[in-house]
Amino acid sequence: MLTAIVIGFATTGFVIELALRSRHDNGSDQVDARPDTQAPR
Amino acid sequence: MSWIAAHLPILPVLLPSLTAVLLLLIGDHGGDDAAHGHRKLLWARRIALGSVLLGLVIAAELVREAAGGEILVYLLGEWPAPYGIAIVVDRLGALMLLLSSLVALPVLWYATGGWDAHGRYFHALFQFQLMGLNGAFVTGDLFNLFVFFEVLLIASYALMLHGLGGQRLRVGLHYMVLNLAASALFLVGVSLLYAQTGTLNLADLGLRVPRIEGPDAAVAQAAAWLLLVVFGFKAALLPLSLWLPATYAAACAPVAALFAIMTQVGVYAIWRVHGVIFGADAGASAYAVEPLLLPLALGTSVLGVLGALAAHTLERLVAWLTVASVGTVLVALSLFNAAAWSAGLYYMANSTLVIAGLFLLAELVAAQRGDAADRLVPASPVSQPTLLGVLMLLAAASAAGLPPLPGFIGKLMLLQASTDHSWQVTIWSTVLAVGFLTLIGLARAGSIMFWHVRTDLPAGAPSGASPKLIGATLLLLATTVAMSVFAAPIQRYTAAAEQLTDRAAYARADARVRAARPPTARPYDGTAGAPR
Repeated sequence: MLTAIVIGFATTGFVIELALRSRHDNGSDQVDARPDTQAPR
Repeated sequence: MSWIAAHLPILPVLLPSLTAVLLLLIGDHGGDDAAHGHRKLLWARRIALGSVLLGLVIAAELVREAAGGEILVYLLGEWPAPYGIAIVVDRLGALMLLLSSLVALPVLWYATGGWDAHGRYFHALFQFQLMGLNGAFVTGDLFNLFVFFEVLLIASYALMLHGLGGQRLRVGLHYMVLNLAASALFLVGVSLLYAQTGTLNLADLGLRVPRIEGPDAAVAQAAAWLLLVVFGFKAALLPLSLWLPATYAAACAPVAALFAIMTQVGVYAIWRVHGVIFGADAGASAYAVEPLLLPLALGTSVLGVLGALAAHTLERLVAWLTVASVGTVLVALSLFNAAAWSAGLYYMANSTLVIAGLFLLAELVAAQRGDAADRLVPASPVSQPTLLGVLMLLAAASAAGLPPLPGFIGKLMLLQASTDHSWQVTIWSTVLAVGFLTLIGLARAGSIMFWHVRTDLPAGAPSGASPKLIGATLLLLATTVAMSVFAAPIQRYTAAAEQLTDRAAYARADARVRAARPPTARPYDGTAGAPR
């Protein structure tokens, strides 16, 4: 179970980083199908 | 040589992981696009290709040994069962190992044609992904299955984003968050099962689950359902398949082609856990998920083919075909008889290769169509219409199951195996309709791209694709043709799938290695438990 905890921490860290990068590159944090082009950068 | 033979079962896991570490130590070319001829990249390519080639040889040797019917068991560090890690290679595991090597080699070769220079550490991540895949196929323990799932998922998160871009990041976030949720459910399911049986060793589970009765059986079945959600998510089973097309279509071609085998990990896990442990002879929990699995599998293949018909880009079409083929394999699985399983294994091997080939082909075609890329609209003609057209025709015919290609053989075996099933009419009509609609979808795509061209536009690319890219795609499709030529021996091999249901033999093989060691695993009673 320790393995699972370590994996859980690591992947959570990665998903936060990914979310930040996605927000930066797409200019918004909207992730559903509609392209949100009007969002301010 | 005997030393290598003794350690052969662990090599498919060890080799990619050591290669990945070596590739990390070599370092990276820096990630800029101008790095195509970089010295480090060239070395990374040589090492990675050599390693995958060696992996293919090892997998072939394991298949040869497994074909004899023997189940190879390897205990890491000779630790006894409850503490140590058991590696078990039987026919199914060896077949999956060979399949993953057969997909990985051409895909990696294709990636060395340019994609590996568009981001950092492609080769190291590719090897980690292979390590996770191979580990999942050979592990003899449910918790280690979870660990290898995570290894391959973590590598796949990074590979999926390879090349970056807004769309990949957006879809990648979906993919990752959904997978995190699925992993949490996996742990819950594993814990429930451990609470009921006191073991997570697949061989022990096979022996202990049948002994669970009464209200405890309901808990074990709940664990089975939870695990079905997890594996069904990976395999894109019906209500959980909507993430797949967007993800696979957004990933770059070699990564999407590699993901074709990742989908099969989910199918493999369903086979191991639900097909065998919760299959026939499982006492009160026998066929725990069977009533829902068959309708869901049929629905998956229908949804997949409808999605393929509605797709507006070629890559999305191929991604939906992945869903359709997984549905067909799961139909075979949920019939729970040896003939259907043999058909399912054969069809799975073929469809994985075809779909990986189609992903590569889709990018080759898209690269020659100018601005239209892979959108299914009339555009400028491709510069190599004959070559790409013939490849497309070959892949389409095999995906749709036209004779004499292996897709046809697999489906025929499946139809034969379902003749005395109570759902026979539904299964026959669904499988045949899905094949027909697949053909229509691919024919539509092919005719738009190769015949319905706009001559008023200039040709997309002045030169054709490089021989390396063509060669890699050709190699993948040639493997599927070879499956048709060697159908008889492969079928003999998969026909021995009933070895799977012999849970006593699986357990005996495991037990022989730990002979003379007293069993120390005991059911969890709430007062004592070994931390894992």
